[in-house]
Amino acid sequence: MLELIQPSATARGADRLTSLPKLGVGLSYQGTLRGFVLENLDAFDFLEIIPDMFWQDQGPAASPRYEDRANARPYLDQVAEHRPIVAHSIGLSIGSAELFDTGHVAQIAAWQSRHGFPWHSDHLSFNRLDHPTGHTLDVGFTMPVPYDRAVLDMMVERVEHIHSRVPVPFLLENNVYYFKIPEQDMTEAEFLNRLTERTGCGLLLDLHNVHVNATNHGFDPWELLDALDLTRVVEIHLGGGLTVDGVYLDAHSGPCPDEVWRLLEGVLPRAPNLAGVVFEVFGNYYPSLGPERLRQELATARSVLGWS
Amino acid sequence: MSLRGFQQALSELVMSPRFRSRVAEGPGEALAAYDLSDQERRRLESLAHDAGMKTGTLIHRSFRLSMLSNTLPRTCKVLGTQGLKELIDAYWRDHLPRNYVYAQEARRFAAFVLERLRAGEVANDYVEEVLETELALLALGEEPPWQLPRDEPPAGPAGWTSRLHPSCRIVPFRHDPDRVLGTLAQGNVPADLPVGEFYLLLVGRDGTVDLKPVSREQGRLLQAYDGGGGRVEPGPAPPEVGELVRTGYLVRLLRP
Repeated sequence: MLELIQPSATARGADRLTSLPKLGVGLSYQGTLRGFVLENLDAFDFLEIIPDMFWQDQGPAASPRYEDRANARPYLDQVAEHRPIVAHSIGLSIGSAELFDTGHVAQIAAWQSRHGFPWHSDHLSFNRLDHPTGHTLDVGFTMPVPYDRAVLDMMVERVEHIHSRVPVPFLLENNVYYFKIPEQDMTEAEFLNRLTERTGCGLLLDLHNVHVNATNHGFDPWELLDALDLTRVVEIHLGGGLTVDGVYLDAHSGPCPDEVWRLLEGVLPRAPNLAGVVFEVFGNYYPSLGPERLRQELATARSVLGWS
Repeated sequence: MSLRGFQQALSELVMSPRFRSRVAEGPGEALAAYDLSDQERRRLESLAHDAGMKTGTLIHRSFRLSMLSNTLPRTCKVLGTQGLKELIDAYWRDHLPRNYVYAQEARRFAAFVLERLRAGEVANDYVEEVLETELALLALGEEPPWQLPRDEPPAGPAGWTSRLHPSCRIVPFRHDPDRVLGTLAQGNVPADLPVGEFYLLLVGRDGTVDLKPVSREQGRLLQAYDGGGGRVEPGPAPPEVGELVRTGYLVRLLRP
């Protein structure tokens, strides 16, 4: 079946990606890292925050809907004196059918204006939906969307709305999935390529997600990476996982596996618009990782990245 | 596009192994309530047999449980593994996961537990005081530090209004709070502590919360000044109130 090719958005989107500052190695913020961040500013070049952790969302009907958490602003202002801050949200649920939260987009725009994020990102997935009971529910993790033409069209419209409201590049992160939706119109790489081509948005390439999917579904990660347009990659995520009942989980539980470092080495020469590499560890695993090992992971990322 | 129906059914497959079994055994009946295309129906039938769905359930449940274990760790501990499991199962049966805001989920669960406690359906001597303490900790964690309410002074006749400082909470205990919370801090569950009338004062300051057991007299007094608009006093503060105002635990505001 022939697909109607939409006018390319590359002209307006790609230029924005090529002119981004090369920030270097970032650390993904968690509450338990609050002290580490201020005491180890030399260990990373920028801080990536999940902005949703710094505000209280009282729901779309509330006014004001969003309230800053206690001490959020002074802390971020303190960090921002030393390091740039980038936003990686979890609240958009861009893949939700018939539920697109423009209020969340407006809140991201307000925070971008306040904190000067050079770019912002979210996940290519859905987690919120209208339940038949009439309530909105949140499944609590990044559920996969079918890589279908109709879903692509829906995503394109939503990304364009985001671009119209937030004046810095928007990136979507490739998903981790433990089950595969059958009979999809496109492969993951085709879907991502068409989405970035049609909207001009960037890609947040989570290499640990690629490794997890390849491990659990038995494919060569380079099959995906070779098929992806890596010129759209602005940011890369690294992290560690663990195996439970024979399944390798994207648990952000510790050091980055060797396989993921090798993927990073292979991707770097092919990702000319890369602006940052971020190491992720969940807050409850930080005590077992410890500050020294965390510094070591960040130092390794800097060494592999090779930016002075 | 029936994507909405597909996502509803897919989410149910992840959240409910029972629904997954129903779809695997009889997809026509199990999926009848959802607006689905033929392709989506085939996808869901296939996914009901996908081994990866169990992992989805594990992650969904782990995340939902972590929302409580991170916000109400002492309550989870004091309930014990079996008690917590029974309450969680009942709570999840009746309460869908609304959002990922930890504090909101904690408050919904707390309301559910307190309702069960008051109905006599949960037998645990310590859970109410521990849960109320953690709810106070949550509230103080969200309060701007040492900020007086914006709507003061309230309308009414001229005089003084005294009330608990907005950065303080007072929690009544039936057991010595030092011993209850100390035992939990060591990773143990309190048992067989003497019953009495005790009070714990929580004071939020600069992003941290101090826990201060106070005397019965002070506890009663602070509780009397908690909630609502406080107490109106036309004249000078009684001496015992004056002392608590000097410490900062009570605020005293002049109404014109």
